[in-house]
Amino acid sequence: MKLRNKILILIFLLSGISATAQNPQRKEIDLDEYVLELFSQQDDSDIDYSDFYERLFQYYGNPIDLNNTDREELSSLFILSEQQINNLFLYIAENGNLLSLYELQAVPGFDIQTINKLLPFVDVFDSGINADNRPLYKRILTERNNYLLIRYNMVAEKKNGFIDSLTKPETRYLGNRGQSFIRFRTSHTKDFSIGFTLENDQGERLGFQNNQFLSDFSSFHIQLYNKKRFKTIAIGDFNMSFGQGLVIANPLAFGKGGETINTLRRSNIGFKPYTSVMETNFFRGVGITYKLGKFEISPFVSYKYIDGNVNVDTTNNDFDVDNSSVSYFMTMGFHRNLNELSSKKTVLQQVAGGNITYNSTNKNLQLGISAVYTQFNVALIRNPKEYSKFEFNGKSNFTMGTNYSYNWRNFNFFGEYAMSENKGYGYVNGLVSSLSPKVELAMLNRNFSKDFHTFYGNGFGENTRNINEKGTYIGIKIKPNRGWTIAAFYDRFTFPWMRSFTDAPSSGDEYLIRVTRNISKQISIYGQFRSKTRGKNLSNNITTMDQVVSSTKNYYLLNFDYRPKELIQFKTRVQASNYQQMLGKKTAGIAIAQDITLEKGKFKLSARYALFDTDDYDNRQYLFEKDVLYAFAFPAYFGKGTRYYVLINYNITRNLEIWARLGRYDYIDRTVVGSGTEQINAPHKTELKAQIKYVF
Amino acid sequence: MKAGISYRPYSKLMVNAEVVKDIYTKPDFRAGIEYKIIDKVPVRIGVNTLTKTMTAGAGFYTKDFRIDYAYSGIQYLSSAHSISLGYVFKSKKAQQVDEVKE
Repeated sequence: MKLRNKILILIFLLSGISATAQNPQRKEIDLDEYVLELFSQQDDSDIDYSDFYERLFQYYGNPIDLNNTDREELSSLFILSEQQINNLFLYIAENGNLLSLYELQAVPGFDIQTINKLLPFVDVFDSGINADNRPLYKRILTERNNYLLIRYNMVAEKKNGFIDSLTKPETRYLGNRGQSFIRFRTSHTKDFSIGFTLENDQGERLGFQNNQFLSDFSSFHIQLYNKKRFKTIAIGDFNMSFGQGLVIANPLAFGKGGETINTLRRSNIGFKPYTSVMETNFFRGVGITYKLGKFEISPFVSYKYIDGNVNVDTTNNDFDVDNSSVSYFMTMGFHRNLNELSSKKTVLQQVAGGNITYNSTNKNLQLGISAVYTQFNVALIRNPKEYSKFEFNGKSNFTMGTNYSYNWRNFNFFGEYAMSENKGYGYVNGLVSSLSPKVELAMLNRNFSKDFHTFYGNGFGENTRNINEKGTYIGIKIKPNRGWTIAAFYDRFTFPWMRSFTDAPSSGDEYLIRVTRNISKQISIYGQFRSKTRGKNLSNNITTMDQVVSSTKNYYLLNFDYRPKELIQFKTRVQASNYQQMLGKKTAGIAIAQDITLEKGKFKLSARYALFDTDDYDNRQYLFEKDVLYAFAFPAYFGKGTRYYVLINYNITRNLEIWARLGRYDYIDRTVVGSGTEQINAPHKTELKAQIKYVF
Repeated sequence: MKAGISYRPYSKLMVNAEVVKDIYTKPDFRAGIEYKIIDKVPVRIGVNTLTKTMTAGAGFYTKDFRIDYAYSGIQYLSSAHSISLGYVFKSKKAQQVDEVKE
């Protein structure tokens, strides 16, 4: 298309998106709706979503350059359909680079809703004329996309762990009652990222004792991008994701949920900085990605001490590594009392591995090979249990896999085959497709043998880990006309061997349907029904042998969003569930929450009042809560009581921003909250949080 | 008793959903998609929640003949294969209409 014609069309299109500058105004994103759609109501929620949340914010601070991106990067946002991605690349191939974000309206299949969802994370860069030619250190020192974040939070009530008379000396928390957190980061898209994190949980001691650097957890990273043939150079703490994630994947798992299509496929995105505070599931060492023609070669090494419950062999009055063993690894990252400190950083984990990826010239075919070798200095020997007898035991493990991704018209076929040293295997094969601009389809078949050992894998599945599972998933999303979206999935799975609380091979299925109606720019409503059936041991069983029976949980959800004016927003949410084993007693739970958000200039206030009533822990209700920047709150409400929180945010100057948050649970069905050292001897729990962000 | 809906956004694609209820059994939710990857070949997938069945199939249609194959996997039972063969009877008039259309 001639440049002149392009400009004429752009002028006509300017009316579509409202803004004043060259590109539409980067509005402050409200990630919540977007995130809610992606996250299912988790049953076992030990996963730290703050990593993904932060990655999204990374894209907000370092937007993806639409003129310089690839399919993997775009699909890692989970916003665009296969057809939309295809159309974008086709449009750029036919018409040259995008001149501005307004031009997105001209790309077939890009409706206003999709564009608005995409805007916070993308941009269009004018490379060449304005390219920064100064030396690297100068670019780093003058980079304005940086921040220093300081956060402190504590629980107002005193937990038992802090009270001498209620704890034994080895369980008494040694630190103070607040959790402190400092993070610094400076980064520039496709150039560099440098940062460090210091974090200290409630009860942990600050200082430099025991090889600690000021805080209990410290982390740093330096990553450089696109330096000649080196696509990435990563030093410090990092994560990566290759293929479908069976061998190496980002620990954040996207399971099944209201987003039925885009969460199926993992993205091949190479090395990324690790900045979360999960204290586990990351690599510490060096990794590089080197470009050689159509190949990208990514070797890495990691050397790190992890927490483990080590049984020391002291027959020779010595720490005899060869005869000691560790029965399990701790992943919570708590080092608050002598008991927890005795397991801190007791096992050395050395990892070496890599990936080679090939991309065909027309970018339609991608093939890859990944391999990882792990060695511990102490053997892992679990306490022998029937259900875990096929799990990994030993000092080392090697896992390797090959993956593919192939585009044909509006279909993307993908898969990965992997095998571990003990001949355990795992594979996934799937497809994602835009059957028409209004209908998207996704299918995936997976099979993980009961002895498939992958430490860093996180492929799609019903379980949180890829082992002992076979299943098939079909998902669909239909947008019959503007304003309506219908999403549904059906998943069927079997577990060839026993699981915890399930003393026989079992099976189950799950299905979901969500209907969303965007009535206008101001009003949107959606309803969702979900049902999951799984085999589980019969509770309160009185016979000598456990029996596995079919257990069903149904989830109901209704959500209403109303934004009458720019400065005020309401959200009402009702969610409920019921749980039943075979023809046993049916238990239920419900939570009702009313949120309000007020925004005026530099000041923003969010608040919620909620009521919950659940018969048992099985019916706990997970509700997303607004929190300070970069923190993520997705707590479970259970028992009978109320919850409220108030969050205030104020932009003092362009460089300085502050937050304060108060949250409170009040229970009517109990006199204490929590248990053990975390117990609070009152029927309520109050959390206070404050945060400062400074931009240099 | 059955109640259902069929959605056909354009000629190549059809999405169907229905609920079937028998007095003695729980309701069965069924859904299916048919997509013509090329004009003569429709491909289908479907789901039944009551029997936990997943089905997949394809067909080949010419002017006079049609052949269809389907595979169903019912949980707990072994899989079933179905095949059907059909011949299209058309009156002379209908044939002429078809020829005009082409």
